[in-house]
Amino acid sequence: RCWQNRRARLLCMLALTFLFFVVEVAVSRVTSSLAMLSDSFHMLSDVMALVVALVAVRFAQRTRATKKNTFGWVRAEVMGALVNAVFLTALCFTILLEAIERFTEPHEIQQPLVVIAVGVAGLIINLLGLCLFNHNGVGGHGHAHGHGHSHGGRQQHPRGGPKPEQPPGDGEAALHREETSTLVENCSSSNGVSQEKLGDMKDDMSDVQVNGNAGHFSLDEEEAEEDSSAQLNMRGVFLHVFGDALGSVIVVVNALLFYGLWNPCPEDGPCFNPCVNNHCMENATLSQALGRANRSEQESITVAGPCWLLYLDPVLCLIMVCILLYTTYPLLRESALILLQTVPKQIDVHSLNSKLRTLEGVEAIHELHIWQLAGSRIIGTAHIKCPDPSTYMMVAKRIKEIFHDEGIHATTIQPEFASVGSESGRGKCELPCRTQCALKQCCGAGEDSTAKKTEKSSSVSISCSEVVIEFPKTRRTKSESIPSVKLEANTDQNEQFESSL
Amino acid sequence: MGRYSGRSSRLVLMCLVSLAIFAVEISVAYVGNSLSLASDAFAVLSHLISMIIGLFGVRFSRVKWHKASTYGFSRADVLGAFGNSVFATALMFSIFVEAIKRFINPQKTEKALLVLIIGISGLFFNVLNYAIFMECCYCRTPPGDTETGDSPNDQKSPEEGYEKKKEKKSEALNIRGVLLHVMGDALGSVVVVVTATIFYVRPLGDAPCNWQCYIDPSLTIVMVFIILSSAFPLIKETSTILLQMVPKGVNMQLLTDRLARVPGVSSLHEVHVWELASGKNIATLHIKCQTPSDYQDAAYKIREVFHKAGVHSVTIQPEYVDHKTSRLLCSSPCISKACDSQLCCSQREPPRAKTNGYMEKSESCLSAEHKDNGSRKSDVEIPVEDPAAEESVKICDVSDDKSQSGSTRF
Repeated sequence: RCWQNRRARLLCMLALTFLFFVVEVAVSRVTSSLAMLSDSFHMLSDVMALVVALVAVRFAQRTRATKKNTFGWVRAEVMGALVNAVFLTALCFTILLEAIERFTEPHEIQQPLVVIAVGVAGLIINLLGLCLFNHNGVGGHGHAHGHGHSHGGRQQHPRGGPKPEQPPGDGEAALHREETSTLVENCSSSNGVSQEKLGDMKDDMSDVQVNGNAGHFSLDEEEAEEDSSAQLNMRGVFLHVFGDALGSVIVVVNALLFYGLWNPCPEDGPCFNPCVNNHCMENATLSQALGRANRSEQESITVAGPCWLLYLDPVLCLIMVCILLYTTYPLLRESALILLQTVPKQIDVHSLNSKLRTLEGVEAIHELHIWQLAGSRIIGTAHIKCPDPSTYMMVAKRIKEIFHDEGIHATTIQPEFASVGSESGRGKCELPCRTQCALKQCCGAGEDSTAKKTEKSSSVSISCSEVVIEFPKTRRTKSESIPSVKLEANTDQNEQFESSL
Repeated sequence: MGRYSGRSSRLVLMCLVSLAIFAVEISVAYVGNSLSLASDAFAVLSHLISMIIGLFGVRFSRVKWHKASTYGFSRADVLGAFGNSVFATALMFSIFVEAIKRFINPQKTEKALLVLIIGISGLFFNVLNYAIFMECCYCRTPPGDTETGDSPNDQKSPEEGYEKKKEKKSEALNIRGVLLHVMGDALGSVVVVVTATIFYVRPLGDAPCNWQCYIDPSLTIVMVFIILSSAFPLIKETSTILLQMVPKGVNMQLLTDRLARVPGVSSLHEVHVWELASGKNIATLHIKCQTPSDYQDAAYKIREVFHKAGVHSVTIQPEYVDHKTSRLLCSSPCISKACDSQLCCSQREPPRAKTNGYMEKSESCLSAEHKDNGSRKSDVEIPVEDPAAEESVKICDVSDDKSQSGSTRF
């Protein structure tokens, strides 16, 4: 349903734009206007952006795991957004260079009427596209996301009541939980979203979450699917169309002004065009022309129209480039942050860490990783050190709850059981891979669970010693005495591990 | 950042010189009306930008831990390479468009001598750039790459032969991205020199355009194709990583088969393997076991399996089997079913065997169960999950009524 809408819109816009591109090329051949040809190629780049977005949407629907990709392809939309953003930046770059070229060599616009006609047609198409993609709730601004989301929500899901049922006696915490979960859903984007903005929507949204019963469940999920990753993708397309619309506006304005104000050189008769020639030649020609002509003929020398008109085009182009870059940068930043596996903005890893550590039964936490797959799917992993399995059983649920409260719903918690007598708090991983694998681990082992790290270059030298894993002897019937190796950790270039076995 | 601190001034100098060359080239290009020189100037500027992106990427990727990113910024490398290649592709597209325009509207190269001189100096500079870059930034190998192949514990050495996994020499993707641009530069300079030479040797003067005018765009198009053909593999490689795909050396089918055969594991699900950056593979999985001791045994062997497959950061979540619930479904995705849409992979559809690592063994669990009754002490209590109660409670009710069985239990 929702995604069909997205695809339909993209396809429709794609067809329109391609058609217009063909038309523009034809017109440019007929009028042999090079400017029109370059404008038509801007349309072609638009087409490419739409194709990229379409491909991303197609891919991202396959959320099931496959052999090639255990997460499904949900990330495709974020990638599509990034590609579009980079593409747009490159386009701005080339437009900039063209504008600089125009500054040095200004051109007149030939046949302004035709240019106006085509420009207006292009503008209409682009405005249509803007409407199409704006309806998605994109709006071009980060904080409009939440509004767009709930707008769609209100249309589709009749609410049972304005307020969700909250468990009695726990209003504050429940409210906070709902807020965080809706925050996750609604604003994976800018940090400008305050809770007040979401305040009126969050009740509805939490309705979705809290009271999702089986009947509405499928609807809710689909609405949640149309979440920020899809919005990122659409934003990319929107920005492309927006850039194109701006380009069309510039073309039309320029042509109109040209048509109105420009005083062209007529075919016959002496004409002096002060704008196009070299400055050195300018005065020479003028003086020669004036000298040769009689006084009576001076009035018949036409001087081509106001020169500033020729510079209008590049100036407007420069302004357009600035606007485009300014609006593209947030999109670029957002998709890059997701792809860099950063912690989503609304989650504070330190507070999460401390919350987990204050649970009783938890001795240490390490390898805590939180990252965003796409949209509202946030994934977390952690290794939790507990004294024994039964303690772990008791805290396991609580741990998951803490993660859930932060909006992290796909977690993998690995319990590790320390042997008796190990120091608490110095949580080195009990089960790393072998020593020599340290470079290939995702993060250098040897993180202190309590440390706040900034930069740490962990390059490990391979020593002959091996880290072995000792199992608590009470649990095993086979008595294997595994020697434990003690290494020391220092922050030097050669870093070795300390195992507190 | 040891290697860079001495070189950064040199690189900054290179950037400045690039900028100067760009300015000179573009002005001469407009004076001499040479498309190839203009596109070469383009290429120099894009090279500059890409170098900046590349340097930032490498700098960032040294950061191992940061409060904004628990994985550090090791992906910055990959992202920089991806951004660079997409940028290069987009630029090539616009150059292609310009070449088409030239075909339609051929123009002569004027002032061929000037263009030739600038072209040669541009070529020289590009080769110099390439040499400097190669020397400083390309051939660094991280220390201690090779595996030595000891097993962690002699007594527990596995039966199967130890597969020595040769570590693939992962060249920094980012540097490859920058080199792409350098190569583009060099090719562009070659094209410029060729065209200018032809126009210098056989000047056209005022004659209309003949075949000479078409050399410029045709060579440019050839250059575009060459660069695109080297950009696409890079794009493919980086997007493999960025899309969280299974890394190339890992065969999921084989891996899950081997994992399922580990004694003590009744079933596994939610197996995810992905690559953080070149060479660093990460895996997470949930396994269902009978008892905690099963888990500890199995955990070690599972790590071994992964180690042989080249995956060195593994997080294993144990879930304890209860005969009433389906073995295949995850017992503890999140605390309730309502969170399903935000799971990385939806739980609601019935799990197909072999996808997402859903695997079940029926026979080994029985053998594992009877392994040692001593470990099944009372303190390892496995509370019974009540499936009927679970279905009736749909709300993602997180409150402190732990007495309700609405969520997962072990």
